[in-house]
Amino acid sequence: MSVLEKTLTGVDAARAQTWNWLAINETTLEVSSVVEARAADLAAWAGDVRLIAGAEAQAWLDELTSEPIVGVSSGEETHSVLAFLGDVEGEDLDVSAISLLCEEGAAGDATIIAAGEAATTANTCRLRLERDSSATVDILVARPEDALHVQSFGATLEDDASLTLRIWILGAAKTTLAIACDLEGARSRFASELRYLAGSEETIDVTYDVRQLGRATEAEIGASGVLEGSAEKTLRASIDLVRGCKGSKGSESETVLVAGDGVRNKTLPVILCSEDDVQGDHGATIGSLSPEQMGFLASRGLSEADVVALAGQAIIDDAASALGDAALPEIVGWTRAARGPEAAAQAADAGALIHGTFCDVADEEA
Amino acid sequence: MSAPSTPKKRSEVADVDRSLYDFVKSEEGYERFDDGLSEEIVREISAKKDEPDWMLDLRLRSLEIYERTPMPENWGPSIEGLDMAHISTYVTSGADQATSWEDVPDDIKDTFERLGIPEAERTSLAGVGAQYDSELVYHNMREEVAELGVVYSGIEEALHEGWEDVIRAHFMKLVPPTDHKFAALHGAVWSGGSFVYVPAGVTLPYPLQSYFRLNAAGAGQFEHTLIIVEPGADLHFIEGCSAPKYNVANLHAGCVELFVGKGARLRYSTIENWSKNMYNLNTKRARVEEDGAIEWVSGSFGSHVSYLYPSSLLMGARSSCEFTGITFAGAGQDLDTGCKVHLAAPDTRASVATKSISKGGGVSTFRSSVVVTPAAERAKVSVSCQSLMLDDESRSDTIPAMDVRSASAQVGHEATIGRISDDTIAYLMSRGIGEDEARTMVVNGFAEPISKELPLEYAVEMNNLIKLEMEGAIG
Repeated sequence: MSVLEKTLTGVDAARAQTWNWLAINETTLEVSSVVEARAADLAAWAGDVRLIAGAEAQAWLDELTSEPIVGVSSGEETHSVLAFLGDVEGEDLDVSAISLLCEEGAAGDATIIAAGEAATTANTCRLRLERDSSATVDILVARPEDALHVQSFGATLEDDASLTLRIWILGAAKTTLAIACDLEGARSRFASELRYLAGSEETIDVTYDVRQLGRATEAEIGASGVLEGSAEKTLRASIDLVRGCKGSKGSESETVLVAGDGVRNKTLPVILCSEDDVQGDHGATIGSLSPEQMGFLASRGLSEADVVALAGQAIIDDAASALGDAALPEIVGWTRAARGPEAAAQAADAGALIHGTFCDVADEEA
Repeated sequence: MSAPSTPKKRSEVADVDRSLYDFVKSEEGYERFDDGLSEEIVREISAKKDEPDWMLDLRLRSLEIYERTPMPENWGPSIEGLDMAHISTYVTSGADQATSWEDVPDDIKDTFERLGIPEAERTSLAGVGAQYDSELVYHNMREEVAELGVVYSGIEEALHEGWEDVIRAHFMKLVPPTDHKFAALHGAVWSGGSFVYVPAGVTLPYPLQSYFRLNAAGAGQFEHTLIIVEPGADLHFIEGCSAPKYNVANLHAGCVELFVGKGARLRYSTIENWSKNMYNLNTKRARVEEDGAIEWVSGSFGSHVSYLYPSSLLMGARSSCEFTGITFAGAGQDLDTGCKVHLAAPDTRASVATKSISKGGGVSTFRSSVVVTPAAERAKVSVSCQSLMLDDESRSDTIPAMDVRSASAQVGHEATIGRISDDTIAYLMSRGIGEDEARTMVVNGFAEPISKELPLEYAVEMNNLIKLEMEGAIG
């Protein structure tokens, strides 16, 4: 098996395209590949899940994935799936896939942690939520600042199913996320919260594409983060209120704290609507701290740098407290490497407070 | 067992009553160039206008660019129904340009009388230009405005009356032929339009207005509007347009270039009411210097397909842009409208507020771009777009893009899509207002922030249009 470099085009493309000169419609990826490709065997339902990473990117992901981690939730017990990426000794490339089926009335969860030293990590996650089922999927990207993470995610929801997708991007040279969700069933619900940090030359590229097909569906996408140094972030978020989805609601909101002279923030929040009995809305606030806000904070003894550091730490602490034990050492380790021992100790405390688990990495520092 | 549910009542809104605009005059005796596009046609247009060589060179270069420029594959509404091989790029009645309505040929004069242009000129305008197909047929300006040094004429006339150097320095400089395929087409075959020059410090007491009427079937209109507002000056310019409906495609590919000097203000109001066989692929752009202000008021009611995104380049410190727009897409219409703002200097400001209404299978797309460059320190931008769906056959999309590269900028954006809420109607009905009237009131209220920005006569016309559409059409 030999490795070759290739450029993938048409990655994370927006469903509704805008002016090409804005360079926001899609991105490209420089990746390593292998000559002897492998192909994953997928269950029929998983093959039907819509994915939007782009034809080239998805083909690259699929050919590098041997066997997906398969989870089937049924009955009353929650079935959990964990994919840990980036820590395979001697491998620069760590690619995996998850297929999670939640049968009627069941609950499942999946956690994807991209945190190791491998140059490239990538994952495809496919979900099908049958009637009345629910799932929570957590994705953590805590990579070194020269590493790449590629994430493709697709979910299909039947009647009354509910999916919560929580994402924390703490670091990586480039992170791409392509998230597709089809709310096919009546009253199905998708809620996603993306929180991110990016500094130096890091790039975050995220595309959401939510189709609301069933009646009285709900979609809520929230994104917030801090951009420092010369970081670049692109968020394409599309909510499609398809004809027939009467009584549905779709909402997108974004807050970006711009805290670097070289920062570039690109946002394409799209609402497509072909049904009248619906509500769709989008709101975005992008900017730095206003003079009024700074005045107030200064009166409390905080400098602008302090405030930006606090905002960043809040995102790390949120990940530490929300994610389970498997992620905490990775969060603390990443924080220590990127932001110093004090910040790492605080993250460890945030995790300990919720989980009651004291993190070895923080203990070592102490 | 629960009682069977009663189907919800739905707004069913009739098409726009276009009888005011939908009348045809004979083309007998008119000069009409062959359909299609060729170097020979471009040279003929140039020769008719006795242009300087540089203008012919620009036309030929534009033609070359047009021929080699593809349409982007990922752009909005389809224009497959537009075949340039079946569009005549130049049609004229042959009438000389008049400065008195008495001297305008009767059938053309009757057209503009029916559109209310001479009446508007008498009551509320500082000057009027009227274009019929490819050429201006009337142009006049009040004497007291001319005495202020204001120039308002056709581009061709200005070229021959001492303004050639100014025109050469500005013509297709903001919208170069390389901008996109239809900018190149415009550069090759432009004809008619307006040249306005407002000297420094001059404030016009009344607006100037140009009205464009495309009467010929299967023809294109390619007027060019070039406005220079010198430092400290103030102008309100109004543009109106209409055409009768044919069963063949017509094309409008005009171009508007606006130069707003230091501390100057330009308000540019447009009521576009083309017929539903029209492809309206228009390009408008303004460059604004220090402390200058551009205000766009844009009403898009007609055309089959529209690509219309007036853009503002805020190049001077503290310059500002306000964009206020409404789009009304009915049956057979796919209107892709919005705006672009480029903030490239400190303390610049931009405010965008748009409304769109879709009905009867119409498609309305709001598309915008806001680019805040690193030089735009402390820039502030707010974008608001609201869409109202009047039935479930129609479509309304919002595609706003933001690219922020300044650490000290503040950008806010909000968008909503929905229908008239049942609660609102129920509340109004509980106050003794009939359902039809209640729905009309809501739609008028929805459009009110835009109509109050329009000149009075246009605001009244817009409100009447909405009322006409709503009356007796709710069921």
